Amino acid sequence: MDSLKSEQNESMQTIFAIRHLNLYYGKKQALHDINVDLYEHCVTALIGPSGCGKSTFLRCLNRMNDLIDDCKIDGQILYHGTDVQSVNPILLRTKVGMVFQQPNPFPMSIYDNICYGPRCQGVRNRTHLNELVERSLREAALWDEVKDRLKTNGMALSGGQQQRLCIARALAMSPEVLLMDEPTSALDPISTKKIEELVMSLKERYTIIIVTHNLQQAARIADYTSFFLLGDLVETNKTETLFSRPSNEKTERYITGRFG
Amino acid sequence: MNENLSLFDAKESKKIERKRRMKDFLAAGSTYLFSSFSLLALIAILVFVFSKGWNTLSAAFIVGDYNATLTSVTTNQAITETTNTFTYQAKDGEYFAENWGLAFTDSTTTEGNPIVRLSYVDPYSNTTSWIDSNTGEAFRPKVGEMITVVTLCDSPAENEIKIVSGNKGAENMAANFRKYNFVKNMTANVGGGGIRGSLISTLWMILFTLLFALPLGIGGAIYLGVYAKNNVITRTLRNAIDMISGIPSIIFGLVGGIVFLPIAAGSGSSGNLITGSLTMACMILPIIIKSTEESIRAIPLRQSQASLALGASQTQTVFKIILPNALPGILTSALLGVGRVIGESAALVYTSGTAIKDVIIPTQGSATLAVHIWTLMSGETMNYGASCAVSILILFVILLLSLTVKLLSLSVQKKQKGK
Repeated sequence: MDSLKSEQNESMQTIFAIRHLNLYYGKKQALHDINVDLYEHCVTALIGPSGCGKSTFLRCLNRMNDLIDDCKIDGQILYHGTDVQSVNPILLRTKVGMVFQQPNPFPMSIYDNICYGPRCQGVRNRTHLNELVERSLREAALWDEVKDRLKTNGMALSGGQQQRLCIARALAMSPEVLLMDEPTSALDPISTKKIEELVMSLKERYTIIIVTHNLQQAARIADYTSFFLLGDLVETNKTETLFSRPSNEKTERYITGRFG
Repeated sequence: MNENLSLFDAKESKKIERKRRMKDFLAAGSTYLFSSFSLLALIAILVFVFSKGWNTLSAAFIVGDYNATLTSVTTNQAITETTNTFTYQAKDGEYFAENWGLAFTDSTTTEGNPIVRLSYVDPYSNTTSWIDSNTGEAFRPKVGEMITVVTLCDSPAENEIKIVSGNKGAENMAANFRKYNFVKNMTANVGGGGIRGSLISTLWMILFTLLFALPLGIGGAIYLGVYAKNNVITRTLRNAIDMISGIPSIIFGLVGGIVFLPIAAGSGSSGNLITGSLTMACMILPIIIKSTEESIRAIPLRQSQASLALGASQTQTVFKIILPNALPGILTSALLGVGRVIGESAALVYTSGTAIKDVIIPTQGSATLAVHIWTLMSGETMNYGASCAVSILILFVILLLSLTVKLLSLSVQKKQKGK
């Protein structure tokens, strides 16, 4: 578990520092003493078998676990050095955006989907919103496909387009971090490729933390990879290191498919 | 082993088979019979209501005043003696008074009571000297006017006076008109028995009830569907709501009378449309809460999660995502509530009064359509005709409402499938 320190790149800025994180659903402990640093302008992939706590961990970072009644959190999640438990979750979520497994556009126009977040923050200026819509859609590589039909319902788009719309919607808030919870698991290979390319292009401006079941995907797009198993963070390392020379035997067994 | 075999003995099994068939026949037959009873009951209600009420139902009945406009007529007797003789080809059922140029026919009031109507008035009929005693202006009888009562006499000296009532039949009326050449006075009757007032009163009642119940119900549903934690208080609240929907409406009427009437009395009025609709609002509250909560729960969790993850507050999520999505459910609940308001009588008898009015003022008591039936039937003579006519209207509206609810829920299903 301490191996992450040795591989640390000193030029990277830590954006999230997680210290002794324990998470309980009622009496059941879902995360055991997680310690990890996540770096700015990197893609960090979280891998592991189903039910290992990687999504739970992801949802800690923007406090989406607050919505679950009997969820209790111990330890510290430092975002730029501030414990996220002490900040306003609404403010936190404007800085730490999220994209879900199932594309979930709102049943409203593409335009209104993008404007939803900014409008909730009180942005009313029409020209500003127009610019925001175009910028976000361009960033999400969706602009060319939908620029002529911004008034159509977001639900009418294809699955891949819906997911890119959701990414654009999150980008409209100008977040620092984008959390992605298996964003391609409901999509076909072509849409998946588009999203992957998108993620690669987005990491220059944003920090991306992505949960994925697809090991090849993690290998393709992630700078760092963390391997979770049964609520433990087994290993975090640079992706190439983790996939070529895993320091933990469990990791090796998982990535070679002999396990989990 | 042997015992087991005997079960499959040919003779035995035939017997068993026969017994089983008998039982199946009885069981299946009784379910068919019992289920057909509900259909029969529905048909019986429709047949009864339509056969009794269809003839009474008319445009005049729906838009007419309940209280008839009475016109008293006095005559300038010096010139009322009829000298002419008029001719008119009386149709079947018509009785013509040649000396007056008036024909009468048997008819019924809008409410269904027997009355004599004028069926023909000769253009030159000798009624030019009739004066409306209320306005002092000339009164020309018109076809369709009902004659409640008329006082006839033989001469201006009034040696012989005959009072003829309008419910004694047209033949009698015509015979007396033929016999006497002078009309001393007459009470003519226009309209009456209509339900326009009760119709408007029902509309007001619906409006006010929804005005009170929708905000309360939607608020309650949002609390239960979004904010409430699953604990003892929430469970108690849910059970309470379920129980409210089981309380008989007459008890709502009583409690409404006790609670709301003193408030209304404070403002110088007894039971009125407002107190009635407050009572109705309490009654339809559980319908609105349940239906709205259900539609809130049907909204995929990922919708509200997406909203929250974008930095929207819980309240913004409720008003921008949850409520717009729950709108069809809210509409459905409102329509169900409207159905309840239209059909309710017991709860309103004590809270909004049973008086049938023509001019509806919300701060005064007046009967809704269902209470209108109650009032018609609680008189000395039960008026089935008019009651059934009102019933047809109510049934028709309820049918329309339930069709709309069906269509709404269909469209919601389609929307959820993403079509």
